[in-house]
Amino acid sequence: MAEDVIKVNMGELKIGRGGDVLAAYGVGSCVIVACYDRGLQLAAMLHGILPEKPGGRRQYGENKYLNTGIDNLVKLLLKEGISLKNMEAKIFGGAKMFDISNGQETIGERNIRTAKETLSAKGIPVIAEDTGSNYGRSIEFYVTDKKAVIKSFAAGTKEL
Amino acid sequence: MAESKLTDFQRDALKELGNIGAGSAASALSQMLGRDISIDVPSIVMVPVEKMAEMISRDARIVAAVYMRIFGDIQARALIIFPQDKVFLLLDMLMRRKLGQTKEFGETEQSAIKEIGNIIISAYLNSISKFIGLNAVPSVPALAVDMVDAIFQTVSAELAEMSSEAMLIENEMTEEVTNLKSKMFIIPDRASMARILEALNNTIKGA
Repeated sequence: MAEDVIKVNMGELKIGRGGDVLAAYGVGSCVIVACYDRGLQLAAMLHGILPEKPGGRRQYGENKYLNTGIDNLVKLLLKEGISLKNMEAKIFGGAKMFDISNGQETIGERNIRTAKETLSAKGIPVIAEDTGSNYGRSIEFYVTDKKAVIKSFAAGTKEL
Repeated sequence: MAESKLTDFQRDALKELGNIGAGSAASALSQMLGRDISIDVPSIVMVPVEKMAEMISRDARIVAAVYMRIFGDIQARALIIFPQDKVFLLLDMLMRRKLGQTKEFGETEQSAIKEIGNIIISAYLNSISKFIGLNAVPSVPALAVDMVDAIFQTVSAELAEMSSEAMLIENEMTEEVTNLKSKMFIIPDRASMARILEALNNTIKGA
């Protein structure tokens, strides 16, 4: 069966069903959250750019921030009838592409931390992750079997 | 928030500024490589930061990118990218080796690429900051060899922390013999863009 590839660009949140592939290409410091129902063939993918709105004020309805984006992602899945206790997540990305170190936590690191904290506050376990390091990734998430294929120039191909 | 529009006058003035910068960048590159370098008319667009990666490339092409942060009166990000399959030729020319001689990308080669990027970007910045009377101080250069999308995503995330849109000034420089095309991007944030436009206005009126 031919799969339908649904591209999830920066700041977007999309839903996929059995047979669909949710894909984010060329991910650097952004963090990709794939959240799905343990039993059903239903998943959503978020492509978050920053941990939160600069200045710290929460602004609802924005998918480019990981905190509010994950809120929206969970709401979307709840609306589909999935219960919170059946949700699992896999997260990808958050690389430090350029080594200009000034001792501060990088955007990638902050993105990973915020994604984990937000998911954990909702009680959603992170089942697998391929995060951090210094290279870009392309992620294809197969909704049918909840497997992700991660490709990178530096580290080849992985399945998670 | 609506996208800012540039007037024709502003666009022309920015193009001229881009040309001045590109002229000195190309002459620095030409001296380093000992070759003629041609430049194209710069392209200048205002983009919402999250659309920047999409605008630049829709493929997973691998590039060598030298990245610098710019501080001072102008807060910006500067990036120069070389196609990965031409990096060895670039090193051959830089190190005055026979074309095809460089075969590995070790420490020396990596710092040589960083240094090329540093010199080109600094030449560009020096000439534009002299022209408009604003200072711009670059950070140390950083290098990444990776998917062009991943590189631009990362740069746009950094810009997104400062403003919702940015000005993208793109210059292309070509070495004809090897057909090496390098692209340079200077991306000021919104506040710096306003400062540049104001300074340009004063410079032109005062002239």
